[in-house]
Amino acid sequence: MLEHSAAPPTLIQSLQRGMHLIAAVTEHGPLTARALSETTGIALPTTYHLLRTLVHEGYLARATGGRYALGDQLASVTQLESRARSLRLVREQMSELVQEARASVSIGVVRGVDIVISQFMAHPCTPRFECWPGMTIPGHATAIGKNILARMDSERRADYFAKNPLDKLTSQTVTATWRLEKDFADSAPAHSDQEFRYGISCAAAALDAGGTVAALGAAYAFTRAHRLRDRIDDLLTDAAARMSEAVRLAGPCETVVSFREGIQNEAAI
Amino acid sequence: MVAGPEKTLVRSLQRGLQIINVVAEEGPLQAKQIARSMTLSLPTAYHLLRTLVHDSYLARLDDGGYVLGDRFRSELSELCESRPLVYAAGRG
Repeated sequence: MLEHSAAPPTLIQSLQRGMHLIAAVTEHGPLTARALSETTGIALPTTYHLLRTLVHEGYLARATGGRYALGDQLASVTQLESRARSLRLVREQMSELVQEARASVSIGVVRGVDIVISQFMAHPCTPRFECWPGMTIPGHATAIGKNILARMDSERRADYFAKNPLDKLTSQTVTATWRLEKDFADSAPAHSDQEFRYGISCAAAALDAGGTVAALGAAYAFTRAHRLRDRIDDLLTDAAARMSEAVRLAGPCETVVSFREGIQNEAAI
Repeated sequence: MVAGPEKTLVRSLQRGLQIINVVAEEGPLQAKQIARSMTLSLPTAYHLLRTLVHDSYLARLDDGGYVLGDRFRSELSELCESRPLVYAAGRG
């Protein structure tokens, strides 16, 4: 951006000074207006003037003893940014997997006592089946569900099954717990062959998304399963690893996120 | 705060902070998109963006999109480390 290097750019001083005050509070902790004025070299009346705007916008908050502390807005900016960035990365990786595997790709997460779809991208080659963000899926009949259940401890899993009956959705649905437990013991990607819907195969691999229990699933026509299972498993496993890595790197501010409960569950994945 | 607080606020600071919010939430954003979403004129938006980029609170990508900048980020990571301590000490 040095094309006009001869003329110094005109900058907005009040904005610069306001940001300077936020920086001072970030650095030193809660300070009085007088201390802020001294630290930053901004005249006291100007400091008051700027502080009023910073408090109004939620970047600073009035604390005890006439001091100014950091406000909630700053933390929420990081969350928003980190969440938006994670979401972009996740969507990019999903879209790549859709193309490479020619499969419909979805992400499932644990939300309360349910396993819920949080992201879905369809591929035209995959027969249509119902799947949308927010949809609760049956843990015993789907690959995503099985992958997530396999990683729960036995107590939580029993709790899940107590609340979610093992409905027989197709003639292939496994409804015997001992057979499901055998599936859970396999460490490879979880599979569901027409156990959820006729004509659909699905594989799922674990996503490590910093505290959120999640799985990445790829669904494709059952008729392709015998030829393509291994290849799609490989693509899926790689994509899940890349995605976990990307989300880990994109969340530089996890302390803040975990500090503010509730929003944590709304993470990108 | 009783009599028309809006009048006593520093408008350019307020707008600058709101730009940061918008960019954090939806970035990368083009100057034009930022101007539109905040109902600012394009020159005003550029003026604010130039200041925020100059001080590294925002960064301008090659394609003209704006994202949060390094300065902001490093202060935020400091914030991450310091915030639990601030609470633990019961300050503020």
